[in-house]
Amino acid sequence: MTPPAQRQGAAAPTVARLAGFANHGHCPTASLAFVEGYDLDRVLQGTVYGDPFGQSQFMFERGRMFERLVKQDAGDGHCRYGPLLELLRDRLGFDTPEARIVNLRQELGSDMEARARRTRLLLHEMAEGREGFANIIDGAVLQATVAGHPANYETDGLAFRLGGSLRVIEVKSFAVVDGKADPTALAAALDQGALYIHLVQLALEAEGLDPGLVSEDLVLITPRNVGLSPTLHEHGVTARIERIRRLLEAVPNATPGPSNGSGTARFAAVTRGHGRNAEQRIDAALSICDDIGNAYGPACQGCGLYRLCRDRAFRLGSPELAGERVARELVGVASLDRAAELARGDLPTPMEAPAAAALRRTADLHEEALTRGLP
Amino acid sequence: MSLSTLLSVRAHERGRAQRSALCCHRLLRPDPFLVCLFGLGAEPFSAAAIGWGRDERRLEVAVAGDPRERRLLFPALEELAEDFLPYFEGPFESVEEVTGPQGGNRHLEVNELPQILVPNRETLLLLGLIGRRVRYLPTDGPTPASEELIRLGAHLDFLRRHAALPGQQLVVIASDLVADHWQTSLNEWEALSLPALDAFVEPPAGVHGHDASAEADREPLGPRPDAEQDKAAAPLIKALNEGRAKSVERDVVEPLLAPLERHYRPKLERAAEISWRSLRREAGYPSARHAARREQEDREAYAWHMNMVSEGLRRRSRLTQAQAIRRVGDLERAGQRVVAQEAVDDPLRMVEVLLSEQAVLGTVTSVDPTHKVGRKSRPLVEVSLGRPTMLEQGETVHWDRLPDKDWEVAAVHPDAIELVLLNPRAKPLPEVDSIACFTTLSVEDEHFLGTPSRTPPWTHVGSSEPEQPSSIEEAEAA
Repeated sequence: MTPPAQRQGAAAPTVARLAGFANHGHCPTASLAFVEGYDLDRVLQGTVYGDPFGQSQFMFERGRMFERLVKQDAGDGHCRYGPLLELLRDRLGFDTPEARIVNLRQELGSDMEARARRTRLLLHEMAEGREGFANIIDGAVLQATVAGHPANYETDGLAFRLGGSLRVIEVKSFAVVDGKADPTALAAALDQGALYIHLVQLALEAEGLDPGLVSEDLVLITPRNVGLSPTLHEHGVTARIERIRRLLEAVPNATPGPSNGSGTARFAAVTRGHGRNAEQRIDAALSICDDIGNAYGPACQGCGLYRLCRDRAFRLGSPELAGERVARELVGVASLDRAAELARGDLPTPMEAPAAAALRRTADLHEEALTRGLP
Repeated sequence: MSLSTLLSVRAHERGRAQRSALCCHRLLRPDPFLVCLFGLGAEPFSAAAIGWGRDERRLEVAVAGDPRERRLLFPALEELAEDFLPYFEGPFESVEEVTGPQGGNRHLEVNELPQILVPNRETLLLLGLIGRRVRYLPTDGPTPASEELIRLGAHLDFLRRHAALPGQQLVVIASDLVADHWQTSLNEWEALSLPALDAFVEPPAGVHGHDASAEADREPLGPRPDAEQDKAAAPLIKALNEGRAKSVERDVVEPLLAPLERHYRPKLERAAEISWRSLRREAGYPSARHAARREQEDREAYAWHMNMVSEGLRRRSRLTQAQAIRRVGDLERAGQRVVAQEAVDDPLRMVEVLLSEQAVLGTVTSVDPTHKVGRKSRPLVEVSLGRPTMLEQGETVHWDRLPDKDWEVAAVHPDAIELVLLNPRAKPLPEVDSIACFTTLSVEDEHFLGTPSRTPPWTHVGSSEPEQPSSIEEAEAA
């Protein structure tokens, strides 16, 4: 099989992609794209369904600036980690006078294989508490086989050993004011941290070590208030780890896909190139959704196929188009158009009968309210 | 089933949003003060550009240049303050101390109220964060903040908090205003977008609301820009920073702001235009009966806040546990009251209450104004419902035409109900053969009696020393 990163329109797996997929794991089309290594944020670029891709550069700059501050990175690749060590000491009692910090980005650059090997070795030493083990690993690369693809996952965070357990740190640049953070940003950070912890657990397991050594309390470092002064919070993410573990286990391995050819070939037909025009690419994407199904709903907003699936739901009149409540209340009714007919009094099938009766009563009350008018 | 589901179905079928209210449940002023913003990336405490005004034909715009530099941001905020403060503080000049009914507590009251219009909830949140940032800045030391900036911050912070109160009318969030009065087939998340809602309500001729809203929603309305918008702003900010060579002097910076104003003005004007249009559309509907009554709470909250600010008192930035519990209780009770008020004001709103079996609707079959229970006068009406009811004998209900009077369920029949009026002098009574609606929901305040014990549980004990709010501005940034 061709490695995903070498395929047209495909993307190398990253922790962020993996965490993003966790929100769409219930969708067969998103799962197939994930298994085949296609980045849904990019496959429809250049068509009417392609959204502006990427992060605001100002957002990116803020993140980089904060990370450099936490790691005391002078910009020359040398990090002194003063603010980080101070936080760990003051808040978690990490009191190691001569902390040994290994910066794998600085040591081994972009050689992911070498970094992965070194990460394994360092984790081994840390887990066994060998003399002179690294206190903190920065730029770890974890290898894991997800959906049948062995891949290197470069982590943003850091790992360190405190007492009997390994701790994982995520550094995020959203502010905490009066003890409160933006709930969406916080949830995304916790998901990403939970995934990182899960990958460390897998790595330890692969080394024959006890995965229970990794604490499931994530250490989150964010700026406090307006400036960039770092502050530290701990968050238990056990439930999130469990959800991610179940989800990744449920993703099928990369195998030839259903119906017309392999999933790889099918997603290749959605990407740019080979003289394909936008219409052909959209048709190819729609045919994947038609053949293997999708699961359109409010959680799809962060998916690159969101606009395409939304339009498809509209053309089908799918109740999910109008949100969870509508879909729940119209159980048994195939479409919004059919619901309109039932509200007008069409004879329901046995499956439609409960929703049809409720629709009729609501329609009667609505009519009556319009007749009564304002008091 | 809910009415909103039926209306979503019809919005999809007809290609236009469907009205979910017969009247407007907010008291809208003819010339509120509009504020719209555009930020930079996800910078949480600043605005790259601010638009404001009370005239829909004219939008004042201030751009910061580089909002990450506070010495550039604050002058832009001060420009806003110049117009905002006289408008917002004006009504407090006529404040009076009045005594409550029956010699109740003395409190402050104002005759007029300001009203702030914002395009969406995110704008209000960002204004609140900016307010939190500047309201406690020091007015002395090496970089003193102006009094105007601090007052602006205090007001923005207050408005953000007050807007959490259901039914309040000091702040009008245009996207909420539209979503509260129209039903579309947009999902819960999509219905937070003002351009998408607006396009679904008034799609171009021959275009389905779904397609119109998708098109309208392509360009963010602010305050958070997308990557493309920031990509266009980046070289302009870079040029400004190179041009000013670290200077923050107004005569150096101001001539360099024109390209940024050209970048942001059309975006702010679009936000303002859709906000004004939404406001005007709703103002065309008759105002709900209870909307004016709810103003009283706004008056008291506004007067209390203005008094705090004028006396230089600081409001806590974090609540104690006891305060937080009371606050949640207050918000829940206010929410219930608003649901009840809107239902008795508007038959369309009452549909949801009927569907949840908290109300009955039927034809009045008999009225006996002379009916007595024992020696007490208790006018009796019988209502034919045509279906069973879940109301029980002894329950208190309210007639939607006279909702502050109490009726008691005297008897429940298979498809009818008998009710006696507990306030016998209340007039008029329902008429025979008329359609009448009675609900268990109460439009009155339910008083919170507090904790019954002399020694309240730890959850209700406040901290002994109130936490003093402080500046969240970094010392090094000063």
